[in-house]
Amino acid sequence: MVQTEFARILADPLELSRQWSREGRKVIGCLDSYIPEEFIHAAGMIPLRILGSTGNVTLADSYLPVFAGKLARSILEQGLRGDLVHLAGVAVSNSSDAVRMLYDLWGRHIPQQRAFLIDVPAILEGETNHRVFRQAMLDFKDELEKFTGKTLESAALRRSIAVFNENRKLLKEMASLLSASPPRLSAETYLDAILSGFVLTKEQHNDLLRQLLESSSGKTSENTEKLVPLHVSGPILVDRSFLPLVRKCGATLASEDLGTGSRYFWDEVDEVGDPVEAIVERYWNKITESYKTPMERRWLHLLNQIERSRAAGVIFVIEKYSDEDQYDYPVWRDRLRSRGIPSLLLDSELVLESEQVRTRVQTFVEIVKGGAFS
Amino acid sequence: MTSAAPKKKGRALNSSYEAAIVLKDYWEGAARHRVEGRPVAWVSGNVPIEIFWALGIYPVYPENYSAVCASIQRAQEFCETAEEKGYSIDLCSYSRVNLGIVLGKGVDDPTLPYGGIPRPDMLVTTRIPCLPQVKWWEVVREHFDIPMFVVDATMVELPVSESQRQHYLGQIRELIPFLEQKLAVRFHEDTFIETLRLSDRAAELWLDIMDLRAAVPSPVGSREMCGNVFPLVAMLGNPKTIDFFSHLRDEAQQCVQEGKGAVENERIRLGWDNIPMWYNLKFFSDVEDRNAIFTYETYLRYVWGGRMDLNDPWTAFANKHLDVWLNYSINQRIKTLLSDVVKFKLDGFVFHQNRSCKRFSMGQRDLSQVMQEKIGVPSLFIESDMADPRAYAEAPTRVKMETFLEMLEAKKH
Ligand code: SF4
Ligand code: SF4
Repeated sequence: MVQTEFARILADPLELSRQWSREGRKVIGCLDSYIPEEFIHAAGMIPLRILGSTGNVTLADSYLPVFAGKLARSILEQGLRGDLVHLAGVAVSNSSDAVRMLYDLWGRHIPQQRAFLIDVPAILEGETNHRVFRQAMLDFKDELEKFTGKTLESAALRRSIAVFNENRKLLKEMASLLSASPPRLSAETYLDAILSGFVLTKEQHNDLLRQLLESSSGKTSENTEKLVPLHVSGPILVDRSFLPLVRKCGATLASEDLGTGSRYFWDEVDEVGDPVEAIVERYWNKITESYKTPMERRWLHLLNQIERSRAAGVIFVIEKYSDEDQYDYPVWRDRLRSRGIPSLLLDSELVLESEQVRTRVQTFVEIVKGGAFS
Repeated sequence: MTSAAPKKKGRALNSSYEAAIVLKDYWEGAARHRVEGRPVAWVSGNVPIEIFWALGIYPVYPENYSAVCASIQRAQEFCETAEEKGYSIDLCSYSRVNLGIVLGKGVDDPTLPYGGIPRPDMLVTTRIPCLPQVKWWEVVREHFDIPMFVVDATMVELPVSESQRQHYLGQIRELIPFLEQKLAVRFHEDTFIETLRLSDRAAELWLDIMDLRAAVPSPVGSREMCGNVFPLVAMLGNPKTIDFFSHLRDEAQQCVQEGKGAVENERIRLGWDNIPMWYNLKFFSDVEDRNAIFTYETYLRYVWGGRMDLNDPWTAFANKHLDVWLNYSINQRIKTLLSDVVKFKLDGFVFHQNRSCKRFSMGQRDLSQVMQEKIGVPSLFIESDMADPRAYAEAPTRVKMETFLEMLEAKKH
């Protein structure tokens, strides 16, 4: 069953990439959502999203304070410990201050591994920033060409765009099965499917997604119990125990706008016109992450998702010390409140499961159910 | 060495007493500007400040206001209000103080220092020191619903590259018409260049003072200089700044000529990294009892000011704004620090691991390690916060500092 396949992959997310390297393929670790993975793919390499690990951080403590956040610290830890040694390189973009610092630290402490910096602006407005954004993307493309010794041909780029776009379409289709009423897909499967995509080749992922969609079409979901539909928002959700916990509290995820979810896959690349320019535009226009301005695109996306799923409440899962999201949260909470939508904030450090989280979700679900919200 | 200047309660330089007057003047000027209906912008550290003075837009610095609140022990209450409103205790405390005011009783609350913060007509900020700054302004914009402009930049390794300069100047060319249009002001290049001249004169004086502090004994310590820096942040292009800094410089020069130190029997020279603890500037002067002095700060030397070659004003203007400690890559910070520690003859260095200012604090471990390895200068880490006193633990910090001083003292023998 495809569900078990996802679970197997996620049990050791880096295993496949180790295998690829043994087979002589080049893998590039991508540290955030503004890495144009299509370029890496078209250059004959495999982009792999690095999402840290829940293990203890010890080595990285010599270089980063706790308040740099668990994600940045644990990625550095993985690098220092040699867990990523099989990668041909890592690509970092100028995103949150913590991630940007990782580029410097990589150069200093893991110098044997190639690190690429895509020095894009944080402000995605104005002609000047657009010009600089485009140039940073083109510079990255040049670097990749130098790295592989081959030029990125238009035909290869178009093929890559097609593969990535198909991936995005399949994921969006999956999202609509999730928010259907009743859902055609369990939230747990949905999350596993998304997370697997970060450590599979897009081609493999597409195959599995097609299988999943086929097996989910027609029949109604195995779970018909009455669960309260909720929307989940935040930069990253990798804790697979969270959704079962939500289910035990009588609710389920019906839609999301996670940085590692729909914000990552929602926007497609235009398939007509020059492929390089189309890729650049896709990243410039994509639903913004919290570390990019303006925030409105992200807000509208959140609203659209809630409308689609008819979610009765929103859970913000926010990484501790992720300033960008911490500033957004009260603003969004208030905007939602003015629309009569209740929300709950949960702090995460890649891991969420705890007694406190359970109690808070439980209380929240009761509030949502009882409509006792004002 | 001749007789020492007054210490402890007094200032080493008499001109330092002018700082409070200049600061009061600045905030009263802002209030007047507001009352007279002239445009007011809220700005943040490292915005292209000279443009505002040249355009007649009063640049109001909430960051400074937060520091002022901290220095009179009023930061905590506002931080707590912000936290009640949902802003995490882990966020920059300058922003928490400000959001506590804005979202709490409001900026006009008469019990506030200087009678309140003048309401903004416009928000301008920059990513140069950090990203949270931009996020903070987004919250403020949500509240006031007024126009906002953000100047972006990527981190630099010196010299600043042509493309980074063009990125910066391109945005300035967008900012000026934006201000003109939204605030009905007019930009005149001549006035701007004149403002740059005044700004550069102030920076020159400031850097002179900084350099004079490389002398042994040092004429003035960190506590006093932290109180003197504000005009360099907010009042560049204002002639009052030049007067004030001239007095300071002349006095410091005289002390150096006479071999007069701020500490009577200076034995240990210290450097400081990061923003000071504004509620606890005493931390700096406390070491003087042990014949030690803080005589160098990355914060005072590389976060504000910066010289400009006015033969090529726009290039110089861009360079100055990009050449800022917080915008340096780690390698650049290391390069700069190593040479300064030698130049200032520092015996030890204190890193303030400031939980509020993450961008300042990340990379400090590398700085400390390199300093020890390359030039044998030891350092101490203290964990605290620039404005939120709840993050400061007096007793353990004191013990740490004393042990460190003893170690440095022993090393001297
Ligand atoms: S969670 Fe936030 S702070 Fe952490 S790495 Fe991601 S964007 Fe940066
Ligand atoms: S985090 Fe640091 S640089 Fe940013 S606004 Fe706060 S004090 Fe300033």
